[in-house]
Amino acid sequence: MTDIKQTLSTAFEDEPPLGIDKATILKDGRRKATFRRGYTAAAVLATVTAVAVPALLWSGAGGGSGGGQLQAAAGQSTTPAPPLTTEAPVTSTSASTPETTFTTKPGSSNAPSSYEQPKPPKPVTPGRATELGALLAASGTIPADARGQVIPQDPMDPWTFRISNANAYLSFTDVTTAAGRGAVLLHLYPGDAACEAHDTTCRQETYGGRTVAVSSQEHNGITLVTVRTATPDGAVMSAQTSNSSDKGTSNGTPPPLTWEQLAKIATHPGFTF
Amino acid sequence: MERDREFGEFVDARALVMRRTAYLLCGDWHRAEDLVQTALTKLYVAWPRVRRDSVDAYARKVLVRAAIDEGRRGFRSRETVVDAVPDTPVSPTVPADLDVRRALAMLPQGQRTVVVLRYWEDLSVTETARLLGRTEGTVKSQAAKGLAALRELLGRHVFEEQR
Repeated sequence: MTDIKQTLSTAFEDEPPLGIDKATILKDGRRKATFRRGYTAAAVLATVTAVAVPALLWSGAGGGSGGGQLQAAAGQSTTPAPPLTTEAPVTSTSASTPETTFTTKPGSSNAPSSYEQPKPPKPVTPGRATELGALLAASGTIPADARGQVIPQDPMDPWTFRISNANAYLSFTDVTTAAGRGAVLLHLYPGDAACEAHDTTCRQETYGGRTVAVSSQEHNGITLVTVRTATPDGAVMSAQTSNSSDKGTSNGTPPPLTWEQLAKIATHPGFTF
Repeated sequence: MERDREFGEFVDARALVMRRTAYLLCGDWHRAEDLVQTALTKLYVAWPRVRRDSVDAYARKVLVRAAIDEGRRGFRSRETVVDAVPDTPVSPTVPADLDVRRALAMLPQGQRTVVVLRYWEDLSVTETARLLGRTEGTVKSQAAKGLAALRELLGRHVFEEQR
């Protein structure tokens, strides 16, 4: 320590106990983060409105003054409008342009947010979630010695799927095998199956003729192995395991499944929307 | 939630250090805690965007900015800064920390901030300049003046400029 630093440190001799309230910081931080997302969404909406509304009003009727077009737009008398129909929601095809939707971000409050999520190839339904559970059970991809249990913090039947965040299917099971114990998360979602740029542990492998991205991360004694692959309908099937059952503490064993076992599940061709 | 867990670990590890820096900047333990609380709340909002290897630097930046902003908003008037050293004689037995705190309080805010960042936080001239949005020349000048003032106020040659 330099002389000046030592001298400055003498100012702390009457230092009181730390009174920082972590709970208050988290509460305030969450509130501010929610507001921030709300403001961002409002700003985006305002910008879109400011750009799109004048553009709509000033175009389409073939030139002329804005006033005339305004009247045309208001009266809709000169240009026949496309017929309005009341069809059921159209299912987008794999060839269509990916669409996005605004929903509540996972893990956040129910307040509207500007979090933009890709839209799945087909709308998610409870029926399809049930089908995926049956598909998994009949697939023969779950190791014979794997014993599935309910995760207390996230109760759902082992090896079943539920709708997640209105655009994905999720399965969460506490699994015990001869190798170890931990959570197994199966996730079918719209997105990109390639390795994420920041994940330096991620590598590309081939399993059963399919390309899979395999990531293995260590954090605070928790090992997290993730295998992702592109599904036939252009989405992502991810199988992930860790040696933790509560996402926070290690069970003290290796994860219950290997990356190959995860890849066997993830690459099953039936996992589509 | 992963974000809360990671952030909580950071708070547990760094809150004390941040409060000390804040204390040197403002000279009051309660205000130092308020500053740290403000800075940590801002850090929480930005947490997903902050690279993990630069969290400390980001937290320091937010803290220093919070201290500067607070000073600008007039909170400085509450501070026990005096124009001159009180008439009450300082006994030779008075611990050195009282001298240091008084001396820091008598520095202009700019010099005080630069001294704290340069010699307590061990930032380089370049890093200090970048953080405060000043030129390196200004930082060098304020560091030199701040140190000279501290030497004079403390009445002893306790400092040897290291850099």
